[in-house]
Amino acid sequence: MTTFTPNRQPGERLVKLATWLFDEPTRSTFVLPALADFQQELRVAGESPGRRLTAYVRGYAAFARLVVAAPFIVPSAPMGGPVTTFVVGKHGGNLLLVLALALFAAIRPLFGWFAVAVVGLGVMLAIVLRVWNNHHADSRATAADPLLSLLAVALFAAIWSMFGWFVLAAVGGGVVMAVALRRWNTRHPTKYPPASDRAMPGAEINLSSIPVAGDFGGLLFVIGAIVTVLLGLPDIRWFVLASVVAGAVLAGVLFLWRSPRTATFVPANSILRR
Amino acid sequence: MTAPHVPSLPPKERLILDLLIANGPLFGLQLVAMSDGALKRGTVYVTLGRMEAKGFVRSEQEVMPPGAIGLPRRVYYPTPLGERVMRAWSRLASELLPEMQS
Repeated sequence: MTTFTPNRQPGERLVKLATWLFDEPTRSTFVLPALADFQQELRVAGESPGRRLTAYVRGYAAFARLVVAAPFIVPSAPMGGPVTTFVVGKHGGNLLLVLALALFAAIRPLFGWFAVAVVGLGVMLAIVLRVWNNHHADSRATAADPLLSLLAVALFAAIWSMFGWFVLAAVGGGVVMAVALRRWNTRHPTKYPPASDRAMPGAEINLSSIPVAGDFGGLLFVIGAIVTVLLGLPDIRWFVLASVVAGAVLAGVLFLWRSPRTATFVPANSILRR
Repeated sequence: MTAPHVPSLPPKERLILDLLIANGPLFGLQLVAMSDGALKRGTVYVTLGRMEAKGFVRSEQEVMPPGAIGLPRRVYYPTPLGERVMRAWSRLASELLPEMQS
């Protein structure tokens, strides 16, 4: 069992690991205090093997939780460590890239060169968007709209030859859905503050930034998107079904976890109140 | 015209402020122990870091006695702003509670 000696202290390896995983502000603000707690618990445990084991388990578990959680919950900070920077990238970009490549590798047999063309188109548009945003940083919240519209038009044009009239039906369905959502939101205005009142961390193509939480419109949007995809790609119905089940389980867990903390502040027009 | 930015006070931050105001300066581990499982080892410092950035708490490094070994811990104090935010929150909650329950 590790003991406290001037030469080697418990948690020393974790401190070294932390220098590789985290940048300095994150290390000193979040990681080292947690490791100091670990050492304190070991000191309090004394020589009792059971209590020392408990302290070790708790200390390593706390460190593991920080490693997993920090890149997602610490604003901008934890990307500075060499390993984390390589694996995660700025704002999770590397992870997203790997995810996107895996997705395209999966659909490549289904779509052939069309998938490669879409990847190329996506990369070009991403570069254009990035350059545009860099030059128009002050108005980027609205300025990207024309380019996003262009992206949508280009994607529909690209898949026209494959899906034919289905594309037109999808566009028509999308327009009808947009009108229905607008009417619903006009009649049932959200209690959340408007996007202009919230801090905007910067324009990114990120579905989690779309403010549909709590709205019936959000549910309609999701159902519409799933039905549209299933109509176009019936072969992936089992994958979609498994995703829906997994999503429902995750939503249930999140709901149970959050409900005691947020129940009194659910907006009046939330799905939870229907 | 947009409303001025008012700092938010999520449940975990509320709990931490509550504990600090009621008990005085505390270490992270003490906050975890007093929270009955609401705060977790490790990630409590993420919440505390966010609160420090908002100005709700301040922290100091523990003064280690001579000859002591190991990493120094951080001790957390509520700031006057944190205390005022907590008072405002309590007033707001007590005013809205009857309506929210009906």
